[in-house]
Amino acid sequence: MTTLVQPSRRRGTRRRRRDSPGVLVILSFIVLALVAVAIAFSGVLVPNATTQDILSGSLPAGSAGHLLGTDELGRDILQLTIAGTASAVVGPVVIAVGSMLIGVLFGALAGFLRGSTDWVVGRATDVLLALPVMLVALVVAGILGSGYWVTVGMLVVLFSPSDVRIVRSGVMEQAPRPYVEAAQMLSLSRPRIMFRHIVPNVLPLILTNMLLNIAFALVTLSSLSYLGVGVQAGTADWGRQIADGRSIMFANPAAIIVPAVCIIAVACAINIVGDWLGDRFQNRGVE
Amino acid sequence: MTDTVSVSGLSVRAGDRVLVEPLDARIEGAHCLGLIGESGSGKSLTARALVGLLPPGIVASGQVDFGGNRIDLSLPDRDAAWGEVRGRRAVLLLQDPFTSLSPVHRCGEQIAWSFAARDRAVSDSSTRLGRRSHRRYAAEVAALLAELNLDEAVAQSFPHELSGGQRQRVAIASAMATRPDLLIADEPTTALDASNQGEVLDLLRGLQRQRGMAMILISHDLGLIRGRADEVVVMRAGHVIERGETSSVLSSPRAEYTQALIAANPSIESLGHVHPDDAIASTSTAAHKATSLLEVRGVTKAFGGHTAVEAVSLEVGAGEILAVVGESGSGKSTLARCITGLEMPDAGEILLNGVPLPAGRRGRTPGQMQIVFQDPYSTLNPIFSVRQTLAEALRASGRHGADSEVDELLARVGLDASLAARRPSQLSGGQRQRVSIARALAPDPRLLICDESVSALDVLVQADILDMLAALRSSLGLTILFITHDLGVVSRLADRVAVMSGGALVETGPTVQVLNAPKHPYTMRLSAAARSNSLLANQGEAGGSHDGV
Repeated sequence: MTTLVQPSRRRGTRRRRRDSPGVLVILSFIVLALVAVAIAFSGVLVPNATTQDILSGSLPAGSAGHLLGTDELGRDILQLTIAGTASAVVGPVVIAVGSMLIGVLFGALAGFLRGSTDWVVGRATDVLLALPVMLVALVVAGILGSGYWVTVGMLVVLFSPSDVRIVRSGVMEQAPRPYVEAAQMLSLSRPRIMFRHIVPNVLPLILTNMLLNIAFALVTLSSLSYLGVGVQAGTADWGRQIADGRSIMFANPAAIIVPAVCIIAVACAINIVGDWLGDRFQNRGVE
Repeated sequence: MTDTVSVSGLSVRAGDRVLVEPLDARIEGAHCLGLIGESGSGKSLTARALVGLLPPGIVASGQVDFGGNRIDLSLPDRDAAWGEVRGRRAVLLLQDPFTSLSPVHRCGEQIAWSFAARDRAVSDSSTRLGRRSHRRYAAEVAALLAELNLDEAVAQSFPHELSGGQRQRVAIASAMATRPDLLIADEPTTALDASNQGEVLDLLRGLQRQRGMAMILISHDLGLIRGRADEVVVMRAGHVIERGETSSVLSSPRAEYTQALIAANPSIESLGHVHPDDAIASTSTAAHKATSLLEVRGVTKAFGGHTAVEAVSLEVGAGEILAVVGESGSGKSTLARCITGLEMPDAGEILLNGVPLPAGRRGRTPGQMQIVFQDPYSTLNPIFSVRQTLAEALRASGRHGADSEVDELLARVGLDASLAARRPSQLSGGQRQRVSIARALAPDPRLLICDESVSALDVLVQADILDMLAALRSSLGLTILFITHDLGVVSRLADRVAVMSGGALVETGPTVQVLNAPKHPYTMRLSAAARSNSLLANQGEAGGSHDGV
């Protein structure tokens, strides 16, 4: 007298509830959606944010036609902030993706081949990790000039050691597993074993780390802009806005607060979404 | 303390899903109830429900009565009522002695914790256990260790300094120290070597009987229950399939499932009767003299200062199945890895068909030999589908990896072609192991090495896969080197046996000869242990000796 076990409906709902994003995650997604819109449509929304007719001095927030007031050159804060989204976000994404690619390449080589390759890669990351980011940035700017993409390129290199180490440890954890040894028994090439078999299994770790790096790079890049390294004067950029806004801090506090809040909001949003995605990746395959 | 423990209406569910159907049991003091079933049968959930330690999301209902003290099993695990039950009324002895002891405390101290817990419960005074107060129990700890045939020095040792068998005895000591009414032993010897299992179980059973505790002994191995449990309950998928007095269930099982379990139990006694493969065995032994496929000459491998394999030489004839037997740490797996080239031997030569092979994997081809590993959960790449895994293996051996070739490979290991689209997480342990055998067969290897390939599987699945390997040997002319610690598996499959102990090869010979007339002391011990655990051995005699409890 056995009755078949019915597929449980309640169990399904519990699963969904556990996986469903919380309020913070939804807010974070909204922030990121706004960022995407600002980047995609800044040409249409704010075509002359940086070249508007220059009035005299700054206007406080709430002035007619300028919701958040204007900066010391008379440029509208709201328009400037929207126009600055691209340089604030695109650079960090490039930095995170670039350092991830370097990390995957050298991390996999070091973690799988071990031996002298591991030693050389390990010492190189030690040296890079010992360099103070801000100081190097200032020196590089002094030598190569302070271009946005020069700074981005430099940060790609400076961010890569942590990626290398994370990928290396992930690969070292996978390498002794039987599925990797089975691949060796089939005499598959080492690049194939590394990049077809091992790296995809370390991917959740790599992607989570990459998302967290975007937020960190955003803050670093904005700090450099604030110090005058990175974007050219006159370009719309959140870090630059904060630096320029210092002189009119009391006339129009929004000139500093708005870009600062944007940096914090976007950095937090990326961290929260990164964490959430990381948890989901980790639970993948666990039935 | 000879109270009767009775369980009424114990059931376990996750949401609407019933994992264990209502179960009643009555265990008198000093008696033992055996709980038998394969993985997923609900036997471990039953054990955990009795001490209120179910995983989150899983709830129990029912009651258990410890000599008049009742507890409702549906109480949440943090409920204060459980504090009175756990340790004092019921103790759960876990399978893995490697993780169940604290690695940073000396064993004596850990046993003393249990004594302190007993005293706390009795006097109810807050006898807090200070940093050194475990010394108060030194004499009691020493006495208990002596009862478990452990050296006094064990009290001063950390768990990592002990062998698996010693650790499990320490765990038993700390379970016994509180003198609970009910001792629940969940696969207490599964993680131990065959030569240790019987001894540890007999110690456990002896102490439990002497102290008048009730015991529930959970196992997937019918052989271990025989002669140790008074009553047996056979479970499958949460249902009780059959229950009754142990000797009568084992000698005349009524349920078909129980009959299958008994038939599948790898018993070395089958050797005493006609060996079904005798004909093949004798011909291949004859063939072995003429052509030896694999020749290992003086292979030595050391890790750090420890020599894992010492000057081992052996030969495997074409078409032969050679079993390499030994307990864990005997170097049998390291030897297999040296043969495959996954490990570089420090010295020695590996010859295939008389031609020396390179020491590492470099310069070797997939068609020379393949290996099937033990753990079905990590043996397949989790992100590859079965088809991707097998197609890659086919391409690596110079074929196209076409769907039809994959399907043919799956058919060869008894799997349906519809499984090709699945990922490993969607397969059972047995199915995964079959896929990994299919992957190993893809390059048409001349030699197949199986490193404990069935020891992580349930008995019935194990039997199926062993039969499949025997069939593959006949149909493909495959030569198999089977690494195992299980003599039952050996007697079912192997033509010849090589016994390893402490890194050296201590005995080699035809299976029947080595198992029935072992020469080396280690082989004798192993054979005796396997015999005492095997199901059919001296059924009447063993049943009789335990009836008078």
